[in-house]
Amino acid sequence: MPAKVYMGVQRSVARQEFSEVAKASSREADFDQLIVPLIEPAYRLALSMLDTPADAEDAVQESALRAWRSLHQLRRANPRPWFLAIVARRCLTLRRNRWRSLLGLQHREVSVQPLDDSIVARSDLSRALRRLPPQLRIVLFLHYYLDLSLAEVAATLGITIGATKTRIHRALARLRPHLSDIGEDADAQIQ
Amino acid sequence: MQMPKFNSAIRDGFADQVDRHSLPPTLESSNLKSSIRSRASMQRDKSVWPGVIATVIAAALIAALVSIRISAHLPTSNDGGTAPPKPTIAPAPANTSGLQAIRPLSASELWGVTDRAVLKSSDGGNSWHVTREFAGRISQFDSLSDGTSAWVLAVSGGQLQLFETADGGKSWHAANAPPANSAESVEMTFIDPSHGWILFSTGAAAGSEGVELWSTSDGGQAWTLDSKGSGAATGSIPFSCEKTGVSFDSPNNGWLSGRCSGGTPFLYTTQDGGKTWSEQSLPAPAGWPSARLEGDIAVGRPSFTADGAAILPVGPVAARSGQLQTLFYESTDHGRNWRPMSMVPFAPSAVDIVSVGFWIIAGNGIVEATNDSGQTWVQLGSGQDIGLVREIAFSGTQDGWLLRATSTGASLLKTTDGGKTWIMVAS
Repeated sequence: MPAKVYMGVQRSVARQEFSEVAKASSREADFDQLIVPLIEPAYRLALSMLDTPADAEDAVQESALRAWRSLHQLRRANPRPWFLAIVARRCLTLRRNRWRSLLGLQHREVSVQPLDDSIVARSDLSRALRRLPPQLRIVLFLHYYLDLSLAEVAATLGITIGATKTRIHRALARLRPHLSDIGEDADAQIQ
Repeated sequence: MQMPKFNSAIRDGFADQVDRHSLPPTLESSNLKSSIRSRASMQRDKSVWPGVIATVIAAALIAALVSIRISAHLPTSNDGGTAPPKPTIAPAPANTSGLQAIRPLSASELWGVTDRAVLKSSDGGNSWHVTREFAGRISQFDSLSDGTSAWVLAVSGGQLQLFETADGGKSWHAANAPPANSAESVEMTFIDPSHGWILFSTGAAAGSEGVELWSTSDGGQAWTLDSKGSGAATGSIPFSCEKTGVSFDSPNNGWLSGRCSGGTPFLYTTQDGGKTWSEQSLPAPAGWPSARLEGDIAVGRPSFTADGAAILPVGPVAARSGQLQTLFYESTDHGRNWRPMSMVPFAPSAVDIVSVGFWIIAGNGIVEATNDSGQTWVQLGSGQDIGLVREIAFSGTQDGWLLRATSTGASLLKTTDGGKTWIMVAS
């Protein structure tokens, strides 16, 4: 009965093709709706974590591919912390590469443009932010730059809200001298 | 001038770093989806319809046999593939702005590595030529100081590809990549033309990480899975902590370093080529009851000289002053024993050990050197902020290179006077 087997294979293939097309169409719609709006903030996050724009671009591309493959896992989860978590993990992995950082403790972006007078007041703070350990810098970036709630930051980093608050406390404590310079009391702000 | 508020000050601080970069074209929606569809279909094609694939392979084999008969008298590419042979013309000058790593071989000769190409310079880095461009992204590169042997681990379409050269890059040949359960490599290291290791990450979560360590004893033709870091069995690599690198100084003796949260430094050693591992303790600095460690404690990859001297950076360590520092350990017996020797008040991004006691480190915008195992440090260069240094490497006590990141890629600086003065040789 080789002919029937052959036809059976063909029907199976046809059904699989139809199923694949339907899945791909649905996946692309989901990707457009859920992930594409997050590419820009993801790129900003990667820039804050990595040394060069090329590294950030690579991290987001790789993360987008992983998100594409794993969209079915998203279901009812909040897409923003879900996708940013993928990006954050990718950035931390890239940072570990010994070509980029010996200990993975330091992040400095080279400033090749002279600072404008208007940002001199915050240049020390900006430098201090760059020198924060990655695990502390990312929590501030997610909360203060991307405006994620504490719950979203916690979901992104895979930690509890309490641990998120602790990390923010520790990060702000390290920034205290620079925050004092700009006339703000960090302690008063840490809730 | 009105001072910015607390929240907006931090937001502006980050904005200074990230807002001046616009979204690159490759991340725009249509380009991104096109790239993803292409890569995803490559993956899908590998995983479905095995019968169809078998048929295609059979057809390809037949075609290949026919092709071999036809092209029996034609030159072939040197990687064993089906690509047409490269013309033997003078090598093209290379764009060096994408340099990711450098490996000096002598005062004039050095390797350079970009995302997809291995370059070489014979004039101290002033001019470069491409020895080989690879279809995949280079994830690891290692070379021997003999100037002839080098290896590249690349990833293309999620598949690992290993290439090796035995003639200083004149020709590159495809070798066999290990059949690892991951394409995410942490480190590749070779100690001679035969013995090499590749450490793969099989997944990290909550500060822990599974790994696979593969080894070869025939230059990368055959690979053996030495150890899987996924359990608690005696002698195995623990699942806890993230792994930062692996290094060997002989076919048997190796070290595995890692980063742990709030724990003791992660340093494991093997005396059987990587099959079994045991924890190696690091003594606390003199006068300290124990090294007080804070946050994510990272142990860097040990750096060795040919005569068995080595340094090992560990950080951050909270000094009595409360300032976070990086602690350097030194070994003069091939890493059997480590002594805490020196602390520096920053996390170095690059370290090179030139000889026993002679170290050069870069970080925090400066380059410093010591010739007494870190008891005294001398700042090299003019004192100008040198930025983020990716690598610093000396071929002797006088000639060295410094690869630093710039907003457009990388620039390479060279010294011929032991680091007193640096001149830019490529950008």
